Amino acid sequence: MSASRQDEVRSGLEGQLARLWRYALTLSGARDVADDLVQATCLRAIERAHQFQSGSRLDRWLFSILRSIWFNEIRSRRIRTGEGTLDAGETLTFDGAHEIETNISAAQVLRALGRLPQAQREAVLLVYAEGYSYREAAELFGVPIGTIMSRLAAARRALAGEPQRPGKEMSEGKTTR
Amino acid sequence: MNEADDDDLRLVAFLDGEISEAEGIELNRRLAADPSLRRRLEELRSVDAPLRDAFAVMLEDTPMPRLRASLEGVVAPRAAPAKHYALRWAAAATFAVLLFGAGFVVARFTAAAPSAEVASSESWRQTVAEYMSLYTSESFGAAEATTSNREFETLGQRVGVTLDRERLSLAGLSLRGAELLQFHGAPLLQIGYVDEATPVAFCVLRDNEVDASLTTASREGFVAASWAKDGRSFMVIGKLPQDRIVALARTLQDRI
Repeated sequence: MSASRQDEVRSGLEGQLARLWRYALTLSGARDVADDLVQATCLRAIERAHQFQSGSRLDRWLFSILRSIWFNEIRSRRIRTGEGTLDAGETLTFDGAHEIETNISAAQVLRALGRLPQAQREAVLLVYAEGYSYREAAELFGVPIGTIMSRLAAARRALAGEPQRPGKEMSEGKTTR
Repeated sequence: MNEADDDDLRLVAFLDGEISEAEGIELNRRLAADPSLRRRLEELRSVDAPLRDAFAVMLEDTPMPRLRASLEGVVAPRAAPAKHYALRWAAAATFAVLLFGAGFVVARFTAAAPSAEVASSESWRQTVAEYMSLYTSESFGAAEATTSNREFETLGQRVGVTLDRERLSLAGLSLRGAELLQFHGAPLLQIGYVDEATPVAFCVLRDNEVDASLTTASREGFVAASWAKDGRSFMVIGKLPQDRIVALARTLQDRI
């Protein structure tokens, strides 16, 4: 195994923790699960450091690891054990002190985010917070670009306070109440 | 999909800078001519600023100390200086010889770890991981343990937890025995299991560690799930998939 790649991954991990956690929270909707997911991601990244392309984006690589652990391991286990995914509405909590002056407050948006189907939440985070292009998001999710577009449009409508419309996308992820 | 939905898709792609040049020109032409389409664009755009704030809030909310600590747990094995490792390994080997063959053993163990490490709640876990590497499926005894509930109860009392066979039974694992050890003067109880041919240990140390939620780490090639509650530190360790170790740990966490 290449020691330099190991070192590159090890030393880069700490700088990515916050964004990994935000992604983990967005996927799982639960803080304790997000903690576990970030830790499992770090562990896997170190084990697989030799697969990291030196000089490429560590954040994107880590995100794809986190995503694969969530979908292939943790989420399936939680569903098997009947835990399901948690209602993110109550766990994406918001400190009122951060309230800001806009027509729609960040607090409202956070609550609305928590109520979005997971597939929409994830698309919103990766495209709007992490700067993924539609194409990059589509590749990561393994879906057509059109699906990314409809998820983002549906999410924007919901975040603007419009009711979610039924459609084929609604069956993906968990629709919380 | 109706026309309004199609327009929403176009408007969102437009806002996101993901529209083709030709479509952009066409959309701009329509926007200039259609006030309701402009209103719709503004409605969809209104989400941008609060969304940015919401994501910033989530980032600020990150439990950094906890994540840093768990990251340290993940990268720690490499950080251990080689000579300390060798000393501890030697101590662990002597200790291991004392232990095995009986389902119920009381042994004394003084780790050769340097005193600077004593305070670390990690050091006992690391030591256990190191002697785990000496275990085989027969190390805990070849058959299901005959330890009585009375013995489990006594052992449990030494580390301050309530134990019996029912609480310790784990689906799919054969319970092979219990050993009371000590780590730097603190009682350390180890329950041995075998999963087919893989030894798995559940350890309880009475060390007044502060409460900690379940975390996993890779130690000496083993997967270890650790937590702490009411002054007791717990660990489940074995060469099983992380999922499995975590599931076993959660079961024990719920019961003990």
